[in-house]
Amino acid sequence: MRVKQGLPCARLDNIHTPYVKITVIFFCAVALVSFLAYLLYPYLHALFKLSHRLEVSMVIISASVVIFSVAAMITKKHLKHVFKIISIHNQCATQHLFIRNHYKQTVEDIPDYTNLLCNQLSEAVAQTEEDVLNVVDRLVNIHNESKSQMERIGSSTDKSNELISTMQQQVKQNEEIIRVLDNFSRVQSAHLEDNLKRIQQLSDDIKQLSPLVNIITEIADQTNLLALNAAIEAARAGEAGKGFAVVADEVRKLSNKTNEAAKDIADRISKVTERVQSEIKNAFQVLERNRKTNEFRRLSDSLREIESRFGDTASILEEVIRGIDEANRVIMDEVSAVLGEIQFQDVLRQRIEHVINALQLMNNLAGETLSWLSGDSDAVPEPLKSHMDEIREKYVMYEQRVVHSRVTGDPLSIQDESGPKIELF
Amino acid sequence: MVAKTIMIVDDSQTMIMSLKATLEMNGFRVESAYDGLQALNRLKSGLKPDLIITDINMPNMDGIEFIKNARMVSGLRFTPILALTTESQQAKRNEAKKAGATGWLVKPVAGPDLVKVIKQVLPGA
Repeated sequence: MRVKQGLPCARLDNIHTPYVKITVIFFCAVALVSFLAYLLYPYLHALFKLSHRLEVSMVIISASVVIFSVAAMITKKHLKHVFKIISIHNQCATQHLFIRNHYKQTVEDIPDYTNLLCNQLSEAVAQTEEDVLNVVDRLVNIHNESKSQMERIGSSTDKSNELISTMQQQVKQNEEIIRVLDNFSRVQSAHLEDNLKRIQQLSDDIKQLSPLVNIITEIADQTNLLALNAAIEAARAGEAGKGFAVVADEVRKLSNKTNEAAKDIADRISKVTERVQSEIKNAFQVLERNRKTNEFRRLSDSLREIESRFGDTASILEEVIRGIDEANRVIMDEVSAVLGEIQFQDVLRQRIEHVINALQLMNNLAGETLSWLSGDSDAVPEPLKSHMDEIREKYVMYEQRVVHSRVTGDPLSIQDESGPKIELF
Repeated sequence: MVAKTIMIVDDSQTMIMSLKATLEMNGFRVESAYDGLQALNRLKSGLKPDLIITDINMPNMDGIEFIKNARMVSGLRFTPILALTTESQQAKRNEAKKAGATGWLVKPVAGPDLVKVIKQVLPGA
């Protein structure tokens, strides 16, 4: 049953005044009659022969009833109010019973309700703890990965530096070798030039042998002429010169052979000197070309260029490695900072647990109220508001005290003030 | 160099795990206990940490009581003990100071800040 037009007992306030008025009139009347009886006792005694107090009282009561009846007649309208009040009181009693039962039911339900909320909150805390621990595990993994990467980078940097150093040493060694080879080449070229000059000299000397061959040819020609003369003389001598003719013939043959040999020698000398001249010319050309191009210098320059390019690459690599290294350090610092921030879960847990405790306090109060309403206990439960101070006492955080102060309007005390976040004694 | 040992006393698993990770990343060895009583028993049975970090509001034995008792354990008279708690009131700080705490830190504390404080109170760390 629901009351739609307000509680009937509320209407009592409007009819309170006539009710009091009637009562006051009645008692005034009784008092007045009693007073009159007291004053008029000698007359009453003489008039009605009343010798006993009871008779006087009866008279007074009778008079009172008469006066009350008269008053009731006068205040007939007000009496209707009295009956109405009685009716409303009856209705109020029913309403109060309903309200009490409803309130009792509500109070009875509070523990279930708060238990539900407490369980939800506890579950939420447990869930956040589980999730936060997973986050911690993952952060540890990230940190370990970062650390391994930094170690790898450190090792790569060492290797890279070692490589650069080896390369630089190698380049220096190569330059030294090239310098030695260059010197050697210069010395060799000088020697070759000397040798070529000597060969040239030799060739010239050989060339000078050609006139000597002419002398041999001339001697051979003259010998041939002599042999011819000797053959003529031998023929003139007849039989006696036959032997001499043979000798003259052999001498002529010898001179012919000498002549051929001299020609052959001259040809060969000519060929040799030509070939030597040609070779010397080629050798000089090669020598000159080598001097102009200087292959070793080019090789050295190429090596230096390679070294320079390698150095550039190494410095780019070094810069990249330094960048990765720096990023890794930032990651590690951030991980460390986040691990600190994760402590929010503990802060949150404590605040929620405080709320759970406060809800349980309300639970106890509901139990006490219920037993009071059921008549099991005479102790009147303390109002809920009085428990708010108890809640306040149990705060551990400055933020909790600030919220309490904001909601209740109670000012923050000096003890509530938060000290420095980090303090060394 | 032998790694320094730090004992963490806290009833929150989150706190223990996050502090353990932070400290191990910075080269410390970590031991842990879930309340003052458990921590005290471990200290009495011979554990000698180089530094102790304790919560204040804990079941069984709270942080202040633990600090008082730990100071009486042989060899721990001068061991730095830091209180790491959500409690911010000056009165509680004074109690901890009286009990023998070395410092007071309000949660949450970032890893680098914590390490800085540890290096301040733990020479050679």
